[in-house]
Amino acid sequence: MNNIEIKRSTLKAFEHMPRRTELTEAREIFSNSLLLLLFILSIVLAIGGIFVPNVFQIINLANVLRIVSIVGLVALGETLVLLTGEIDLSVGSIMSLSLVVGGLLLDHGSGWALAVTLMCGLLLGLINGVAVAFGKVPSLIMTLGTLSVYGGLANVTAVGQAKYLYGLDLYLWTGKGYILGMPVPVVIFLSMIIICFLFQTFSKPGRTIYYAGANNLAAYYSGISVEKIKIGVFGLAGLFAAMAGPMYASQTNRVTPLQGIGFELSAIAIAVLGGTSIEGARGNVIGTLLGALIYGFLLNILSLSGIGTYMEQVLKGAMLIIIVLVFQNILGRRGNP
Amino acid sequence: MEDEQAIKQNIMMELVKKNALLLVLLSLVAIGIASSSSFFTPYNWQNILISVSTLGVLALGQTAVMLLRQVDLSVGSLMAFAPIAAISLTEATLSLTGTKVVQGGNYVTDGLFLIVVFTWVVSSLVGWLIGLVTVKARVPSLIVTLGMLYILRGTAYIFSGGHPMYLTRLKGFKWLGTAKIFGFVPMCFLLFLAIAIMAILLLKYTRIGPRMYATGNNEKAAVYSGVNAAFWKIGAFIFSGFCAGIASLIYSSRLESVEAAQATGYELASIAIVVIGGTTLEGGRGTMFGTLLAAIILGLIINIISLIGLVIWYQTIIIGLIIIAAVFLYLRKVRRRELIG
Amino acid sequence: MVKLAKKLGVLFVALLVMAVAAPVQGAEQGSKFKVLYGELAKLKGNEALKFFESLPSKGVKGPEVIQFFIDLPVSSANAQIAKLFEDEGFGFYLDKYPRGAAYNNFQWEKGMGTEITGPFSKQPLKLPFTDYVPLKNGPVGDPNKTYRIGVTFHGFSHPWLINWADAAAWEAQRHPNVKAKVLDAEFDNAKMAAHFDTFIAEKMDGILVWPMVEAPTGPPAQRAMQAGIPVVSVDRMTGFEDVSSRITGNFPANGAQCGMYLVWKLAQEGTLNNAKMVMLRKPLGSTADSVRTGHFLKILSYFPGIQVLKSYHDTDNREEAFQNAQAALQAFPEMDIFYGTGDHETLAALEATKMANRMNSRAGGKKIIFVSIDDSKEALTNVKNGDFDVNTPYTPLISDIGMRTLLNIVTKSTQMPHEVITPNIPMVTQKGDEIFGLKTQTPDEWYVYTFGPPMK
Repeated sequence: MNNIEIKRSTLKAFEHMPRRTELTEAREIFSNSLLLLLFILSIVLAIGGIFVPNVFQIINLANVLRIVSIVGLVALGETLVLLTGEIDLSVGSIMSLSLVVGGLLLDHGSGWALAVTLMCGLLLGLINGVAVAFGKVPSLIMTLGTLSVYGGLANVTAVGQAKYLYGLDLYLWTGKGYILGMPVPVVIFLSMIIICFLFQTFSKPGRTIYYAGANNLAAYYSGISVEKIKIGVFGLAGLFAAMAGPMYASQTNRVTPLQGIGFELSAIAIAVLGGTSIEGARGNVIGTLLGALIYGFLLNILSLSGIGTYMEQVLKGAMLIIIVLVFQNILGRRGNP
Repeated sequence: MEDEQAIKQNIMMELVKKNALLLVLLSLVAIGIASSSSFFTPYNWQNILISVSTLGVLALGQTAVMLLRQVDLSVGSLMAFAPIAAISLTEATLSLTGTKVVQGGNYVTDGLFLIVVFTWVVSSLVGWLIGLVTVKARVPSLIVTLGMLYILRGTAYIFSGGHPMYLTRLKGFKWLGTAKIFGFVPMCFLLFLAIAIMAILLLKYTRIGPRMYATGNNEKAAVYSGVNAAFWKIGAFIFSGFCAGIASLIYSSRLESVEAAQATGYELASIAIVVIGGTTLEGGRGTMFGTLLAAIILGLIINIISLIGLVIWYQTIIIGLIIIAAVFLYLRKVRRRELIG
Repeated sequence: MVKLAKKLGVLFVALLVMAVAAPVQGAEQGSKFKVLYGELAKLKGNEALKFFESLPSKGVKGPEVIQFFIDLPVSSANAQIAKLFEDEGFGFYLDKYPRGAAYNNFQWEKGMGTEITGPFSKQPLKLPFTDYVPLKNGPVGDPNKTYRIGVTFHGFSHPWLINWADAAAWEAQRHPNVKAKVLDAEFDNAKMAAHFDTFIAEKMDGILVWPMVEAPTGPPAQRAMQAGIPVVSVDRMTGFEDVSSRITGNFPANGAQCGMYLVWKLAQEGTLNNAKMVMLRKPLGSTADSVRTGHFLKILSYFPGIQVLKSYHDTDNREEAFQNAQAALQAFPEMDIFYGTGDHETLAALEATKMANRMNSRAGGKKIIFVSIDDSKEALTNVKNGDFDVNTPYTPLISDIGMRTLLNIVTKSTQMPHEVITPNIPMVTQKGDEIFGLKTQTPDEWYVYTFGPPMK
């Protein structure tokens, strides 16, 4: 018997077992990790409230949530990639390049600039996806390469110049505006989280993402090719990075080719904080939301408490290691030995 | 007749593939000679060899780590942290005997021996720590080294107060970076070669090689056949840390200064060299010799770009494309082998 | 070898002569102020203010005023600032940075300079100092010889620095027998060292450099000098003091004028006795940060009523400065002044303040005072519309001075001093007020010389 026949017969053997509904799976996905995250978040906020009560001032909350949303959006895309067992180091450069390419069209108005930015991000992400899925290039290496290539192209396209956003109201609104009293980035971020969550839990392609990450047989049987899933998540990662770009750029009224630098590390850190495993197939977008909140508030509290910028860096790194350590060992995760 | 030609073509292709890196290196040398009359001068070659040394040593350490399917993102920050921590330690130690190590705000004037020793010790210890956390606490190396990248960089700033330190008045410190044996070959390049040769020999002729490749290839299987995977992993990280320490000494010796911001981004450059040299993250494949050649190739590319006067962004793009192309080509070889075998 | 020794010998003698000549020039001025400093030493607060206001009547007016404030000694009247000054070692940095009179006693007047299109940035620029250390169009030195100049700096991606490169390249292009190669070290000191070594291998005739940090650029500059290649640094300095020549930037004038303005403004408001300030600074230990802030603090040290709430540092990055500014606004519900060591810092502070609705959050509804340095078009526009209170220009368009100095040295046509001091540029205020005897500029007067991309 060839391989396919063996697998079919094995599957037949399991036919009598109760079917796993979407809700069962959802419940499993909502494992201990979320509770742990909520716990950590409340501790962080409590400590903040005691030592630096300014944390809870409306303006500070708005600022924190704004930056959380921007970085969180990039982390959301990264989460999807990580779930399939891949990694994307180029999201920062994608942000820079799409910002700059969109910036070329600022003279034609915010609408065109934003549209081109998003399309550019999607395209750049898809390039990553195709190379990883069909070219079989390991994603760490591919996205390391595109990090360089896209970053270099951003500089070349911008000729090193910043472009100003004064007077481009729609563009500036994406970062500084409000919808129903909430900062625009927060609204967009939350909507994306909700959409992705529903997509993941209740749609077949969404669940196949997990199967793809686990290299699971079920992926094969779901009828959706793993390659297409991977291309899709890389495309989304690029799209989200490009979405976050204008929101970030409008804070300082200008578009430069260097603005995306460092986002990839933050995105990975947040995704991992949120319980997403580097090896794939574990984690979910709600975790990423909580991870982003923890990350943002922790940095804000450190900043308000007057600890120097450099100490913040140290604590950021330590927090990352400690939280993953906790996930790996206390929650009984088993990665590769 | 046709068969003979086909066979000859196949043999040619095989030769090209096996010696791809060497051929690339030689073509670069040809390009260099063609593009500038200053290329083939002794001084320029010394520059190339010196610039190869720092990143090359770093890449050797990274190769050991990547052979085991791990990654070490902390080496850049470690290159800043180790010398700064070493200077602080030396200060503390020597103050017991009343000797002032740092004077006039930023000039390091004494304690050469201790500083050098402490740099190695600190960097290897950090590597050991990383290895421990990866293996014993089972945190993926990407995360541990990512966290350490932040921790080490921030600590370097805190220890040094953000001020660069001058080592121009430290007698003997600049020897490593500037000395030339026989008046020609830079000392630091010889050091790089020595470490590379030692690594190549160790991997090829002792038990270390097969065990590391086995661990990288399929860890479970290796463990079942009695290989102490944990030991080799920790060892690889110690080696990576050790290499970062040496690289930092070469760097600081050449520039006669130490600052907390130095070597930013070098971890990615070291990974790039390792990848170009043939070690992909499939694990268990790749050689130190490949890394050695790749380091020289990168040094040649950077030098030629400077000689031509090409704008630096093109360098970033070129290197990125080379990385992608290299991996693509290597994996085509791999896949073809798998199909046949 | 003999040729090399001869070249070095000539250089050495030239340096020796200049080293003797320069202090003599400075000393004359120094002694004039010494008496005044002596009188000032015991004064503080309102008495010090009155002293400053009386400077014109004491014979100090016009551009001399700036020099007076630059050379001012630090006071112990404001304990907090005096301690800050000492803890951060400002004295060390201030002494190291060259100051003095301009070459050949050049006086800059409004309207001087040349309009160009930047070869790299393609922007329209006006170089203010093309008449300083003048050099005619056309071949230099030996018309049959081609002079090859290596230029290494950081930052085609940085608006200030790309204009720096523009000015240097433009100057080289004025002379058909000069070929300049411009390399970007991308903020990596090892790359800059490699550039130096490349230039040495190529046996360049001269090297022009913008060194970001001093310590790591010392050895390469020294190697180049030892190889017989003249090295000229512009704006910041290399760690090797004996380069052929150093063109200094306006760092001391920036800090000093910011201090002048702040004291004057607070006095006008009547809040000199109670003012709280947040400082947004560049990387710790960088020349720009140390020299500007040092000179700034020196003046404030005479006024016990001014309090520094906190200093933040960033890595020359507007986004980071923005977050620092937001943190500051959160941490300090009562603050009066934002001081930025660079235009990025103050621009970020302005944005953060607007977003937090704190523009007029001072007692009595007064606007927060924004003190800025670096005359980007953005910054100057903000002075014009009243958001910024003052801007002290720091033009990158001084690399042409450096190129001309280098060409003079390379062609051995003129002896150049070891330090070529850029003339102090008067600060820019909205209405061009006169402060302590110095007539400041209006935004329109200086706008044409500003750097950076256009606003729209």
